[in-house]
Amino acid sequence: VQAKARLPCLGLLATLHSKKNSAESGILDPAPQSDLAGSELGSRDSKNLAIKERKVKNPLDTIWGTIISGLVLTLILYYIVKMAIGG
Amino acid sequence: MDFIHYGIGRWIHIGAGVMWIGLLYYFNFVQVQAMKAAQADNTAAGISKHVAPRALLYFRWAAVVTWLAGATILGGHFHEAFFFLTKTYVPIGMGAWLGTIMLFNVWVLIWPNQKKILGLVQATDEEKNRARRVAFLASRTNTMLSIPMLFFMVASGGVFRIAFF
Repeated sequence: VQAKARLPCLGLLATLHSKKNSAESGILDPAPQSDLAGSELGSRDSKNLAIKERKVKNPLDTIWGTIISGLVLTLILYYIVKMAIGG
Repeated sequence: MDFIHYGIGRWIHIGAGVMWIGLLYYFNFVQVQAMKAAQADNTAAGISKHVAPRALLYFRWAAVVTWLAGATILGGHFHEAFFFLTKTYVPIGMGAWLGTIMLFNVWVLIWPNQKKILGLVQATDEEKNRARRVAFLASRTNTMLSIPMLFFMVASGGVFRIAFF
């Protein structure tokens, strides 16, 4: 733990790992805790990252996000197909 | 033979497709919001017991019929479209791939998880919560994919104006 606490990036990785596990379990954890929460560096990184993570939402959670994603995907695939057929 | 291949095949493909995508849009545009309101006044059981199982029955089998009828229409050009072997069939091939991914989502992700949610198979509360999230995201993914899928289904005779089958 001491070795991890010296490296801020490990604190970030620990938080990301914690977030990944909570996402995989299907339970949305609004503020995942790092295993370095007790250390100054880990705690600071966790807070910074947690604030950023709250801003990122899955567009598929809203119907408008889903529609906009579908339209963007249509546009991307349209240009890919157009290039593929040489149009 | 051409009448069965192109006429009946296309008729069934579009009819089943309307039912499949229509029910998909019903789930995403109507039922998700209706369930929230129904849970608030304790009437959700009516939807989950009487409406959802019937809707899911037609939904998943319409998906199969749509895919099979689509494959029938492509006929001997199926592999050309699916593997993008001929430029002419690239647009419909893209639509076919999107439809195939959606069919996979219906039978592998949505239906098995809906069975847990509706109590048709045994599941713990934790498994039900996970099933709800997976089924919801798979359904929303299909709604998202339906937009380019429908575009490419009509694009061959529309914006690209190349393929005739």
